[in-house]
Amino acid sequence: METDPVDAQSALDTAAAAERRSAKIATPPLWFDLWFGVTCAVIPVEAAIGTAIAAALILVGVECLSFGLLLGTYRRVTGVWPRQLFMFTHLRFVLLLITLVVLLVGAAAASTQLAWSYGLGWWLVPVAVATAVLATLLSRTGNAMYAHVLGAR
Amino acid sequence: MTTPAFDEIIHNPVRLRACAMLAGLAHAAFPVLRDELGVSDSVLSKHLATLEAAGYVKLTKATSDRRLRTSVALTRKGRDAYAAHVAALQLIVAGEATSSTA
Repeated sequence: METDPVDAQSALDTAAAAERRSAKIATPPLWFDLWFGVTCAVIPVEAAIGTAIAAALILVGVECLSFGLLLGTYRRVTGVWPRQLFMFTHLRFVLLLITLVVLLVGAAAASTQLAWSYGLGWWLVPVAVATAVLATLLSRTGNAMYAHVLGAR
Repeated sequence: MTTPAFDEIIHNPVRLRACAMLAGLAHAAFPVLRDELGVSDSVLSKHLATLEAAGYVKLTKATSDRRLRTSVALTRKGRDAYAAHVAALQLIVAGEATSSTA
C-alpha cells in the first residue's frame, strides 16, 4: 500500500468533506448571477426594438457573446466545470428553470406589447431592470440549490 | 441502485478525495485538484495515472494561452466505482453500528 488505510467512517467523512469542497468551488459567485441577470435584461430590449431588425440582431449577438464570455470567465476563474444534468432530477430546480423561461418570455411579450402601444420610451428601463433583478435572483437561487444538492450528497 | 463494492484503488486517501471532488463535476483543472488535495504535481500525477490505468479518470490536455492545460474528469466507470465504494463504506459503518448495538 502507498499510504495507510483509513477506517470506513473516516473515509466517508473525507469523501463527504471533499464533495462539499467541490460544491463550494463549483458554485458560481455573485458576479456570475449579476452578469447573468444583466444579460437576460437584454431580451426585453431586443423584443421592444424587434421591428428594427438590424439593431435587434446586434443585440442578439451581444447577448450570445455575453453568455459565452460569462461561461468562459467562470471556467477560467474556478478551474472547474459543473455537472448539472443530475439537477434535472430535482423538481424544484426544474420549476426554477420553468419560472426563468416564463419570466423571459413574459418580459419579451410585455415589451413587444408596450412598444406597439407607446413606441420606444423610458418604460423600457424599468422593464429591463426588473428582468435583470428577477433573473439575478433566480440564478442565485438555482446556484444555491445546486450547491446544496451537490454538497449534501 | 448501486451495488456496494470496496475498491482498493479508490480507497487510497488522495485518490478517494480526488474521486469525491470530481464526482460532482464534469471536469476540473489539474492545478485546482492539486491545490485542493494539497499535494505536489508529481504526487497527483502518480495518483491520476493509477486512476487512469483503471479507467476511472480521463485526462485531457489542451493548449490555451500558449500553455498546456490538463483537465481531469471521472469516467462513467469511475463514477460507478466511486459510488459503489462509498456504498461499501456505508455498509461497513452500518454493520459496525449494528454489531455494536446487538
